[in-house]
Amino acid sequence: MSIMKKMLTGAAIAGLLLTTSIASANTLKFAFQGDAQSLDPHGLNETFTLGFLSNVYEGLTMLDKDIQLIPGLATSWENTSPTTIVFKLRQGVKFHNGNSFNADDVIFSWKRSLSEGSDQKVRGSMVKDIKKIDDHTVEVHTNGPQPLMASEWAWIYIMDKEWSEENGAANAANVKDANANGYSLNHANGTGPFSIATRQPDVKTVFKRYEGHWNKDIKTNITDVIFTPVKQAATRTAALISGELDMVYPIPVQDWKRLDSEDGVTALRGPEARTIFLGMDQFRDELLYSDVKGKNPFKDVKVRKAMAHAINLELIKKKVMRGAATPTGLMIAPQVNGFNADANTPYKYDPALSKKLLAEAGYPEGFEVTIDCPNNRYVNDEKICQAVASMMAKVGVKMKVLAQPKSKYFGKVLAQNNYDTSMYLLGWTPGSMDVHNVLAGLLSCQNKETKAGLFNLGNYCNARVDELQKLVGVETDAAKRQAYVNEAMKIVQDEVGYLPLHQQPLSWGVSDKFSINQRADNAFDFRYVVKN
Amino acid sequence: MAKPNNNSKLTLFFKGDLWYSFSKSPTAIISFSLTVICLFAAFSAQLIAPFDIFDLAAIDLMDADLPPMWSTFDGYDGDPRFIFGTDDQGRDIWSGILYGAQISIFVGFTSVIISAIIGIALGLLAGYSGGRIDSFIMRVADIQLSFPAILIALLIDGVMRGLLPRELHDELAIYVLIFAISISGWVQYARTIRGSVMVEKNKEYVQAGQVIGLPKHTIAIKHILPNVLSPIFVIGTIHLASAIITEATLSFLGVGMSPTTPSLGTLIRIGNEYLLSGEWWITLFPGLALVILVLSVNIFGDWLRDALNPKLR
Repeated sequence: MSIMKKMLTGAAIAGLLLTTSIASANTLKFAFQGDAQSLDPHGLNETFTLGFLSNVYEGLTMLDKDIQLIPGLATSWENTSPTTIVFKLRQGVKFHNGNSFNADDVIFSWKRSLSEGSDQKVRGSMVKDIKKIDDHTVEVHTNGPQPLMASEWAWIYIMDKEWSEENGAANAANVKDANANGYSLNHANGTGPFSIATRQPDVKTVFKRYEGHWNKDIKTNITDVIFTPVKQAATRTAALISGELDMVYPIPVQDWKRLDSEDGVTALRGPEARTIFLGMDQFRDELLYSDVKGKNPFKDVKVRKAMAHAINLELIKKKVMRGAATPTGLMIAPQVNGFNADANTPYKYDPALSKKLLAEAGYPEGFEVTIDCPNNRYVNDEKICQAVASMMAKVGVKMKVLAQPKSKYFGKVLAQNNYDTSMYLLGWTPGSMDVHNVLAGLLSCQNKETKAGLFNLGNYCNARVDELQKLVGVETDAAKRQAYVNEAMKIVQDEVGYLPLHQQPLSWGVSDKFSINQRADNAFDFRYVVKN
Repeated sequence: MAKPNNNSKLTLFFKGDLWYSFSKSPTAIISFSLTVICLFAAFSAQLIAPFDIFDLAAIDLMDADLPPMWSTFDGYDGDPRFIFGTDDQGRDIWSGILYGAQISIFVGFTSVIISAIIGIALGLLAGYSGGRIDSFIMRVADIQLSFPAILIALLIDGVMRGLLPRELHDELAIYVLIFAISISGWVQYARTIRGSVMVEKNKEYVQAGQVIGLPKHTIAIKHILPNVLSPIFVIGTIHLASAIITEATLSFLGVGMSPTTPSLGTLIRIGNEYLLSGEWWITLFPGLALVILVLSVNIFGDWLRDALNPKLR
């Protein structure tokens, strides 16, 4: 036997041993099109990042596999008055570093959600004060009645006060300053069923099962999870088919057929509760990225109407989304509480009307504007922007597409960077699955104190909608509440506050070796992953 | 009477060795004609392409993802307007190839010329001055040679993009590319020129120049340079092929031309995303165009090298 042969046999045996040991360890390897922005639980209010972190951090309440509210770090809660809610905290819960969870951590996490770099201020500011009754009971006082307070607590992740203070992470780390104040960007210490073993941003994150988790009944038998961001859609699909990865998302819609014809893999699909829309800067006196000087065309409702009628939603559905999208006229999806099917009329595609409106508004030759677009966040996001740009060109609006990875995109357009955009594509799923989240976050005027309209990047602003938002927030009578919602939605639609495009599909690719629960908000919860 | 010798240079060329071996070599004739056809097609894209791919208003998403005109895919028949089908935005692939080749060749040519100018200047300087200047320039060249050209181009491209604001990337992409490829390619020229200059500078005509007191730069540029230029054409031709490939590679990796002003590499990258779903034409035809272009330039360059090198004859 030659040396070469010996070496090869050795390598083969080593490889075999390696594979068996991995198999017994139940490792799940999964990929998304981008990395989680940071490990800071309050740094970015984005579904992928929050979903990713839901395996590491937990809130007082939680969402189960059907997005129903279940107890999390609180065992029960009760409204003692319309503005007071008492949470009984779970006893015996330990953070990954061994510290005990108690009422101080809840108060600390709430305060942290209001700190400078936090992106969770909308949720945090619903709370006026938290009183510690004893170590395992807190009394939460809200700013006015907040019927949905309990479900918002599912997204305010609880951090360990001692750990955060020891490591200089007492304030939320803004996604924008990756260099400053960044301990919590790359380190985590939660109560969830998985802890972070290693993390290399944009390269790899390894999760390890946390044996000390309080819930011994969770379904998963996975011990290790390896996450790698894979930007190229075709590469993701190929890696899934070859067995290199066990779960990837999103799968490009055009690859569904391929996965269907392939053995051992499945394309999990379903309607997502995420609405994709375009927003326009409606508050600056002059657009930042346009050739129109001295005025802002988007302040004119005629221009906004012209934009709406220039977009052919059916064509985007058919060609860009391969039939797998639901064109919409509303800013919320049918799964969201408060949705009214009768009001869901998308703007009609009518380029002639669009041209006429532009001429009436004083732009017969159109104008130039740059649209900000992520290229690794939503299903075919960049392609949607390009398709819209070509549709706009037909009515004379020269739209430049600035497509960037989501880390750069969010860093540019969000509040932390003073909404540096003239037009943008964004997708939104209300975390609470209730319309009020959209009314407060997207449709209300920007308000520095109440944090309303924090994600209303173009500051669409109507006083009546603001009023209705407040009414919806406190109204308990379902019929009255729906009437308020309908009125607000009607105003937004008439004024073309936004250009809703469609609800995108969920599109996951999963190896048949695993059973996985696909949640309608596109969050990937390891608690329901089972290796068959 | 014989014709006056006003076209004697041409006559000389046709009677010369080069023309003779060209006319006897089918490889040379085929590769040269293919190169000429490619160049011609690319540079008359504005005239012969059926669609203007830069005009967003001319693109209709309705026409997206149509297969080549003779085939059927997924229930869609090919459309005679689009010979090689359309891409995901409804752009004609054939027009895309013509415009894309234009950009690829333009980037290739410009980079070769800039590389050659830098290389010749440095080679001449190193060869003629000798000493420390020579050592310095040649050590820089050695260091650069130890990295693959594509890596250097990628590095320069990355640094330039880091320095430029994101909004300008698309507009300046072509200049960044040209800069990156030219800087990564000057070494070959410099080394060749330096070698030839070292040989030439001891010849009598140079000594004669020195004796009558001509300034150094006059001797170097007016007297030595014309005598060392001929290998440059060979290197230039072969470098053109590799510059086009470098450009395509960078664009394929997503750091070259943007999808709105695509080169061949960008077109291949766009198509690559659709390969798994069976839409083969989006990537195949630009790929074929690139192969034909680079192969013909390369073969012609190879032949030129052999023809001009007496030792290989």
